[in-house]
Amino acid sequence: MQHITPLTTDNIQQYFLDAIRQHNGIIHKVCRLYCHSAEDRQDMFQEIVAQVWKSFPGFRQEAKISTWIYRIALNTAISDFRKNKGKIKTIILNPHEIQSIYDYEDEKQNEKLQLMQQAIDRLSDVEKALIMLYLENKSYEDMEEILGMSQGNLRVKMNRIKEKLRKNIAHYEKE
Amino acid sequence: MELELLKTIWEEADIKPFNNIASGDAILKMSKRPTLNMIERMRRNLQIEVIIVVVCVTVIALFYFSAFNGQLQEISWMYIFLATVFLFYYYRKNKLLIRIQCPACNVKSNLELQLNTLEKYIRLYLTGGIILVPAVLFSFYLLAYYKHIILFPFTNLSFIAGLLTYTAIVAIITAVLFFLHRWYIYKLYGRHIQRLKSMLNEMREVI
Repeated sequence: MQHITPLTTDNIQQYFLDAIRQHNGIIHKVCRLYCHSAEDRQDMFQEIVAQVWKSFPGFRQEAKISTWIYRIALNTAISDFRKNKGKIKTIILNPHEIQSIYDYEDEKQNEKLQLMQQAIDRLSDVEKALIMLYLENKSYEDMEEILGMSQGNLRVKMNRIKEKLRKNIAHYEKE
Repeated sequence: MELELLKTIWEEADIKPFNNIASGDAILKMSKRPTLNMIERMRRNLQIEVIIVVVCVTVIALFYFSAFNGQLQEISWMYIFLATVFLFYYYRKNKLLIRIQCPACNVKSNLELQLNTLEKYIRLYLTGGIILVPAVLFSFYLLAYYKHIILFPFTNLSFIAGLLTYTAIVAIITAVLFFLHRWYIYKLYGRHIQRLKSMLNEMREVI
């Protein structure tokens, strides 16, 4: 999404909505990767959207909005998202709103997808972020911009993760 | 299963973007919900502490200003002075919490920022919290001395002996509270700090 006009108090809401509509897939994928239950995913989705909104006034339009959303989503998922659900205050939405926002296709997940999910679950939070960007076909330049790791380090880590993932998948396939 | 196949599965698991008007309202509803992440909760707890201190000090100060024909109004001033010191301490803590995270920065920078600021916050929490204990206790001592209140009524201690006894008691209380305080702070944030450190080590790993 390329903004030509600067963000003002009048248009910021519209730009924000456009950004979320266009890139909600990124947020959803991060939620899928870091949360196991639908409830957790729903809560994380809302938390990320809230963080994007809070950070939106500081968005530099020369940066790619997708990269920017990846950063916020991963930062929320990795460094902050609370594990206990004691005080979760998820906004209650109408059924049609829920259907349009969250992916409730869990039951329909095929075996392979579940296998992939299980294999990825055994990775650390940082490794999950890396493999997600790999699966998203992100270049090492993009990965560096999102994660802040040097490209050399990223390449080495990627190879290790791929190997780890292969082993994990083989392990689950045997089971 | 090969890794390339994972990409295909990943792509198939993709969802369609939502673009209806109702969803726009839903997004706005979500965006304006109070975020309850760790930092926001810390800030909220801090605000609650400030409100409690301000309310309590106001009530106590008003009471001593008006009660006993204003003869004990020094107590009010002492409370006001201590509350001011507390408020400065809270201000510093809040300032650290405001700049503790940068969600739009790259992940590594954000983790470094969180770790460094959280360590500063803990140092302030620990040192500030502990300095305030003897400060409060000695303020009471000064007040008692000024108002000729006998602190150890059933003893015949001289001024120096009384002061030394009081200092020893303050030292013991401060030491006990220091260890309790440290234990509590690390119980609250220790695990999070370890998690941040381990993630950063993973990201910095030397090739």
